[in-house]
Amino acid sequence: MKDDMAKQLMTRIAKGDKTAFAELYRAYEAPLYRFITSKLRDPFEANDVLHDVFMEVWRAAAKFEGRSAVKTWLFGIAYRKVMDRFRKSARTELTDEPPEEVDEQDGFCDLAQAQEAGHVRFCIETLKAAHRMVIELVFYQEMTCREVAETVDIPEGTVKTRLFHAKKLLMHCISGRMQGQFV
Amino acid sequence: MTTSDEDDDLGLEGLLPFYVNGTLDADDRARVDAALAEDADLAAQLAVYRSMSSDVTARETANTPGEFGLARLMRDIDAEEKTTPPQIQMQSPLWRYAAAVALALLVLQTAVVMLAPDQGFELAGGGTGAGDGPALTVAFRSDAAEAQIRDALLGLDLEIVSGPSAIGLYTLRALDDQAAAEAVSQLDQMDDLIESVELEE
Repeated sequence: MKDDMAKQLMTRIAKGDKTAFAELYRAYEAPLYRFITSKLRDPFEANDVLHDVFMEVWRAAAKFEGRSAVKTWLFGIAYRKVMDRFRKSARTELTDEPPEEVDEQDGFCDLAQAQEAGHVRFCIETLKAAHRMVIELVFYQEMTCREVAETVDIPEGTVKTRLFHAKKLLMHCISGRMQGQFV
Repeated sequence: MTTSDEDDDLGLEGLLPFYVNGTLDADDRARVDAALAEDADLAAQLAVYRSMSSDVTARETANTPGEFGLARLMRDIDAEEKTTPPQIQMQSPLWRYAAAVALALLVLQTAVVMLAPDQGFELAGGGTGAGDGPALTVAFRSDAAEAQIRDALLGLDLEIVSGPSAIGLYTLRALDDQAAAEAVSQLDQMDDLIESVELEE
């Protein structure tokens, strides 16, 4: 859905239009759910978070001033809801720590073969949730660096750093698996 | 996209994920293209990001709540509306400006009242008609009708400036000494209306 159309829906939702709310839900439910499950693996918990996101959309629609894209605003709400779940359940994880030393040789494995063998998928799953969420926003949601930064509320430089660390950890994992180490 | 690699340490490699997802602006894309043509290591890094992208985009989205999720939302919204009074939409800039102007006027009015010389209280009718003319103290009969009193006061250009007191006395004000003397004379003859009338010193 184009942003100007989404903003028109938001204007109607702010006036209590439930038809517009349903239209926005149908447009963004799937990508938001996918984004939430990239961090929360429990589908029931993800359902609850998605519900909370859209309840907040309904309640806070009048506060949306249109300065950011609707999509960025929605994903930002989802990100905060997920992080709240993490905090409440005392699940913690470090986000931007440098990866452990990665062998420079890691960069020379056969990626096509690794992909075919399922190593890429396996290794992406082993990444920290903060890395997976940024990867999801960049490669599936096709957000700009600025949009990702706004969504996750971090500087653009940190977005790039997070992707860089994710890539190094991924290569380290793939190399290990390709050499039969199964990290 | 307006991202710049000058403010971070990653250089052009920091742009590679956004080169892959197609969100770089033309200038940044041209810079990455030029660098890739000459830098085999950068090209190798690009291949890793492409591999990540193709894996992520190939994944199917899990079953979403779909229409059941929407029905649950509508149910909760309806329940919330029944328990919460509708909110007035105060987010419009117009409301904010109106509120700010009203507040400024209130502050200004308060300042004027507080800073003005103390002139004491004045009745709403003060300053018109009788002004600071001589005062009369009058006791109306207990059975006097309001219409009779009004007619008498209007006919004699008198204003009630205070009263009734604890013992039922009213203070009236006349335009001038002559009018006050005339009023005393007239009121003194209204036995069905006036119990007593006296010109104050």
